[in-house]
Amino acid sequence: MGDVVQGILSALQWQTVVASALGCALGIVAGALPGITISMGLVLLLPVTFGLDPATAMSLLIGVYTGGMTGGSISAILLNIPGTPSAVMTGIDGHEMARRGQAGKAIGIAIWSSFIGGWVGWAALVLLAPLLARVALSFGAPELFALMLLGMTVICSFSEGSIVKGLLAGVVGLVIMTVGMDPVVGVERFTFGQVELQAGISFLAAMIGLFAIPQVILGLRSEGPRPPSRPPEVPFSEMLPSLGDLRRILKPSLWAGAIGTAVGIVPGTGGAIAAVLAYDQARRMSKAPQEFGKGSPEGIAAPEAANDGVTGGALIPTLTLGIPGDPPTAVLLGALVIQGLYAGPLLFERNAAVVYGILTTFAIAKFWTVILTLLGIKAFVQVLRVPASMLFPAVAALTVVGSYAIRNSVFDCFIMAGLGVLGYFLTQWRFPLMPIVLALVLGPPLEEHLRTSLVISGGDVTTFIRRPVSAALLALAVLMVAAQLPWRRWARALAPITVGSSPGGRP
Amino acid sequence: MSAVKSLLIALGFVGLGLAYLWQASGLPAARADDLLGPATMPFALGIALIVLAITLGAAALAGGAGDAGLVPVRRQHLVVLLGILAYVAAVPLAGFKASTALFLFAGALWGGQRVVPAGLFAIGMAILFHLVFELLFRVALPRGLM
Repeated sequence: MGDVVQGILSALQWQTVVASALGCALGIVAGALPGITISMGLVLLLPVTFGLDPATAMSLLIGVYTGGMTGGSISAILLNIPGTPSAVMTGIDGHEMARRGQAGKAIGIAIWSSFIGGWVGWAALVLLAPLLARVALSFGAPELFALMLLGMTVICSFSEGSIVKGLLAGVVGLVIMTVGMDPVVGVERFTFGQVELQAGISFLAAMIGLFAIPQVILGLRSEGPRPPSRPPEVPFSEMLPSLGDLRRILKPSLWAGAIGTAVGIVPGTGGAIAAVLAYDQARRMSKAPQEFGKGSPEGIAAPEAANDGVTGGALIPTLTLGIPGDPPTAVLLGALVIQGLYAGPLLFERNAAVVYGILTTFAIAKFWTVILTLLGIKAFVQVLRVPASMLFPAVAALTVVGSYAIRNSVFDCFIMAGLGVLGYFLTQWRFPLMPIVLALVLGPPLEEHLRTSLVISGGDVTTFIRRPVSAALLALAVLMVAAQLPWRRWARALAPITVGSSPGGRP
Repeated sequence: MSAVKSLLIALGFVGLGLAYLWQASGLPAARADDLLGPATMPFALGIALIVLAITLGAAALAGGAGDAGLVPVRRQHLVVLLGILAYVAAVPLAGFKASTALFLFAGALWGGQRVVPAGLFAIGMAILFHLVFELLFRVALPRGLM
């Protein structure tokens, strides 16, 4: 109980509350600006958190995460340019409503449904996370290894593109992770005599490079839609919904929040999938499904509530198991490491006050997001006018200063740029980047748990299948990969070869 | 064309896997107190890299999803990429502020800004970085050799 009170009090300190507000404002800006993702906003802010205490640092970043989800809807509604992938569905009905001169009403619905959906996710987080952490506390090294392998497999399998590319990206991340000192006996691996590589590849520099540099390269001379010189007016009074509107969006928002939470719990999924599922569900439940696509309030509410539901859901595996639910939570995991904290079941036991501080600040951020969006909408709309020719060079400069500030090392800037180039080419070749980032985060403990398991079992590999939990987790990982493999296509591709090579084969 | 590119990408990963395995062969093997040793994980990863790359190549040859949707690498993207690499390389030589100002100026011009706004933007941002990172956060930004 003492930890709960201490956590809540730490989140209510003035500097933590201010950091939360600042984070929300920056998140709304990052979410609203097309080409700037929430993950990018988070990695660019990571270096700022070095000098902050855990409560303030996490408040700032969770503010960005929460604010970013709502911010994405602003440009989607006003300009039909989704600021984040998860806001694509919001733009369908939101922009239609804005075109009819009801931009304020559309943004108001987005804000309030996000708020409702966010609370559904928060409630799930508060109720489920401590329970899951308690279960995970009984895990030994084999179970933890199997769990991390499962987490990586899920993310590689569910990533955009083919599963082979997802798995390949995961292995590339693990290859990068092996550079530096071996985690068990301290032998140098792949350092090529470079002193700077002994400490390994800084995963923060890697994250900055992978998340930000490809976006800068693609965004600077983007041929996508440009914001108009004068964005539409958004009157404050229109953003306050009527009782009738609230009644109309409440049920789909609650449903969508639950869908978003469930989707968020599954690692590697994220807001875009949740938004599509919630939109579809809202249309089925609606009394006026014909209005969907033509400016339906439920069509705005469902994807927005789902987006915010995802934030709570994604934090459940992140905090309890150390497996991030989506790219922004992978960055949050890195932020915890900067603070000397390692997400997982032990976090709830050893640093329970920090966990409850995070849960409290997550709730505070939801209030700030509503207040700031309502009061600052005019300023946020103006931000949309910042030209790409200034925005993206400034982001590139931030990546350099951010990667340098990690260890005051120019070498980390080179690492960041190198991985940024890799990230760009992999993006163009349709490889997902999330598995690489996850491998960088989970790789060292994965290897450590594997080796510890074998030391404990005296080298007996069957220890992983003799223990029921690890066996079940490994079986799930295998099933996950097997289910995603394109068996039918392979069978079709092999069919002519088999038929042709068989002398007695029938056509 | 896309299949050929995918095949080349797969071959690149096979090459990477082989080079990685070759480097891993120089690592010490297992010990009594560490049954896997520092080399086992890299060996497993090297093999996984090669197997997955071969699968990717096979999928490309069979016309599977492995080769679908490759986005061409555009010349203007390469210009931006080289600009970023040149900027990072210039930081230890010219210092952070000078190289940043120059990069921002060039970036803004390349992005379509006129000379005066681009120049004002570059100088303004360099000053902002100095204020925020050096004065507020006490980060000793690289001063360069010049």
